[in-house]
Amino acid sequence: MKEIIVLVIIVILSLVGYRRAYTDTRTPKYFSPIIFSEFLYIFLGLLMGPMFLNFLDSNILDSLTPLVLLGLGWIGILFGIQLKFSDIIRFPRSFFGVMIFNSVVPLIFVFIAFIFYFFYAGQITPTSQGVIVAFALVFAAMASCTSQSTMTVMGRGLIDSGKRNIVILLRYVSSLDDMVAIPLVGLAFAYEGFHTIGGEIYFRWWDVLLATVLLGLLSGFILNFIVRITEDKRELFLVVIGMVILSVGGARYLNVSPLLMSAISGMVLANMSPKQSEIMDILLLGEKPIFLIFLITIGALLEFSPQVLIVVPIYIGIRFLGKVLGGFGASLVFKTYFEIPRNIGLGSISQGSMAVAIALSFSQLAPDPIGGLIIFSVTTSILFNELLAPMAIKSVLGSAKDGNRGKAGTK
Amino acid sequence: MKYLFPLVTVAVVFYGLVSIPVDGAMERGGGALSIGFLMLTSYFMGAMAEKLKLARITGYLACGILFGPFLLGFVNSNTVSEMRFINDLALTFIALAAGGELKISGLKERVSLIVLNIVVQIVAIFFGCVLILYFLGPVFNVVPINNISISIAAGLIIASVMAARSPSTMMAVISETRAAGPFTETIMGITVAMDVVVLILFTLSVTVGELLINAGASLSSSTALLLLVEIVGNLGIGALLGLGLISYIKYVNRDLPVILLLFALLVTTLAHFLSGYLSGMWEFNIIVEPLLIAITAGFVVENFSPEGDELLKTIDESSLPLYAIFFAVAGASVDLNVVAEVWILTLALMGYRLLALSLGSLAVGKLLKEPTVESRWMGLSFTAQAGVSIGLAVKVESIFPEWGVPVGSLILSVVTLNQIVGPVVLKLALERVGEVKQRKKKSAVIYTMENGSLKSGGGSN
Repeated sequence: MKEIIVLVIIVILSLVGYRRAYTDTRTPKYFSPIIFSEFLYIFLGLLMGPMFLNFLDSNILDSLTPLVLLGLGWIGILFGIQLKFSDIIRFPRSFFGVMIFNSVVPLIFVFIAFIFYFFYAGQITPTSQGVIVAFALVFAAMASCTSQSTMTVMGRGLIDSGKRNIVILLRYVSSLDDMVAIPLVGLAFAYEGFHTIGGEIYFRWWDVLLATVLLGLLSGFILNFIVRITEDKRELFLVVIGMVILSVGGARYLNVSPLLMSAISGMVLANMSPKQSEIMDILLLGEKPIFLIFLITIGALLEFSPQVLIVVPIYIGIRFLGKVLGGFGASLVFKTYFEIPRNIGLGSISQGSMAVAIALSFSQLAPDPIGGLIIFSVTTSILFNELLAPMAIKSVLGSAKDGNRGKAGTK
Repeated sequence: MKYLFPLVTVAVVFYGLVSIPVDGAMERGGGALSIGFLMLTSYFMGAMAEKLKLARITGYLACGILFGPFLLGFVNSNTVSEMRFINDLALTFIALAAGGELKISGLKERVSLIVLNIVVQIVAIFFGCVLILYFLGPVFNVVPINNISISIAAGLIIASVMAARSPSTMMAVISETRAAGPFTETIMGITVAMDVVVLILFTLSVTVGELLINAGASLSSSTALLLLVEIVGNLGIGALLGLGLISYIKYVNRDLPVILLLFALLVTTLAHFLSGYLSGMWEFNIIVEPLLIAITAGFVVENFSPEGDELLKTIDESSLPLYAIFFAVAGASVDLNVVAEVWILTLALMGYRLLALSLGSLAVGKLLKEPTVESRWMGLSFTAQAGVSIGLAVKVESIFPEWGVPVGSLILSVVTLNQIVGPVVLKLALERVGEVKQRKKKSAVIYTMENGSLKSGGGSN
């Protein structure tokens, strides 16, 4: 009874919050309305969680797992279905380069920092080398992600201005850089200790990674075939929901990354299905409410430990540095038909749904205190970066030269 | 057979996956895997059934039976038990639509037809079922030999459950065939009204049964009071929730599919909680029936506000996944072993029930000078039985633990066969009466991302 009431409250709150935060069409002056909504939902989760009211106790959090898993599959397939190659190559190659720099540099920085911390700082006893590498990969993957929402809110009204090219470039980066993070999460899930039969390790990490990719492709091909025989939108709705549940179930069954698997399925659909836009319309309906449910869940999972005082500043600081340096490096290396500002990396500091999805997908596998550290780091980082993001984006736009209208995205 | 290839492919992939014995796999992903699998395969088999001129839900049921624990075993009984909650949820959601289909204006015109059908069919069913149980029950070891009291009590209880119909099946077939007209409205009205009547009959049968079996027991005024509380309580909760829905649609009207799903979830949970609380804590044998609550809520929205069309449209647009999973799980829950154990008595009861329903409707039709084709098919269109009947069968087993188990199994066995045959007969009845595809056709439903809500577009002709 309690579980259901909590679930109903959470879903209603997420719907209300989504309406208020994401459908406000005004361009914010200083802070994005999203930060208030994100803070509110994380705080709500924290308040309802085991640390305070214990309304969202561990049993209820367990019972919310299927909903969270469904959300992970949903977010994964939604990301994949946006990766239509013909759309991606419409943009200049330098855009792709900037995106890679913006995501890979912070990824490498954070990975090295956490490997160093886990192995040498002696704060955490490593259970094995493999598992520590897996957790460092998760931190790195979260660091490389950029949220689109703040950029979308800030970019309103600017698309026809002299800053058009920078807005397009930043949107491009924030839309695509999850494609670096998601395979990395798949790699972290491929850690051999997670896949045993009768306690014995039967699969090597490359078997698991290959299996994830193949299953993703298989489910994408099957879904592509099935959607072609659907006769109306009601049937399409059924098939998409059924396939997302089946894929997530399959990923959980084999303990492989549901995000990578469903993103690959989505990518197959993006490039092969004649009904790509209809499927995307269905998936978009759930995107924001799912994110808000994720926020409440991570709020409830927040658990303070002395180690967060070290890990969280390392994570946020190194990520920030990586983003700034990555952008700087990209502006030096890549040339395009307009001048890329040196501080372009500041435009991609915001973090959102994908980082949260990665944290949630992995926190259950992680033993204490690493699971708690993943959740605490991503939560603090979201709040910190979303708070700074509007000003950071303004600073990038301020550095960009006016009047550099080009044809990006319209070639 | 364009659906056969994806059906086989999904089945092969599913079987291949669950054959890999990774540690803890079933606990982690078994439930989701099975739900997704049943949702997709039931869709394929539903479409195949449609090609064979059968109702889609026959395909959904067949899918559940085929892949369920008693045939291929792709989905095991534990997983099916875990999925029962989704089943209850879907049933409540569908019941909202059933209530919304009842319009007071239409019912007023057919009130005598509905009331007479209910009375005649109940009398016929009770008479025959008590006799069958009295004479054949001891022969097949369903009731103890030489115990007249138990035989009659079991007969009364079985008869009360045999009177039950399946609003969900009726709703699914009507929605699929887009049937509309006086016949459709009448059978819907009888089916829903019978739900209330069955609750009264079941409570009375249980009370009379206890009186017959326990010499010391007596019929007290509190029994009648409890019965009144039960009926008024169910209808009252439903009416209140209906008013809540009217306000929501009128003043907010956003994300209605999700809100309706949450409504179904709350009603189902609340009903289970209240039933358990009242019988466990207070020893009241009160049935809080989510189906009845949801039907009443749908009825209130349809008849006491202009928001009924919005409710029905939303349910129509978003209910297909629920129909598919509901009937597939119903199929997977079918216990063919039970049917095999008491098949002679099952066929006797089933055959008699159909006869009673048919002859009852024919007699009433003759009396009220209704069109012959409608009277001929009306009784048979009530063949299907589902949720309420299964719930009551389980209740019999818990109320009368000494002799209720075989009686409950017999009920389940009859309900199983009726559930398989019912949709086929109902679709045939609607076709023969000529009310298929008479509902206003809507152009293809268009889901648009307008303010993030699920909307339908297109006009109607």
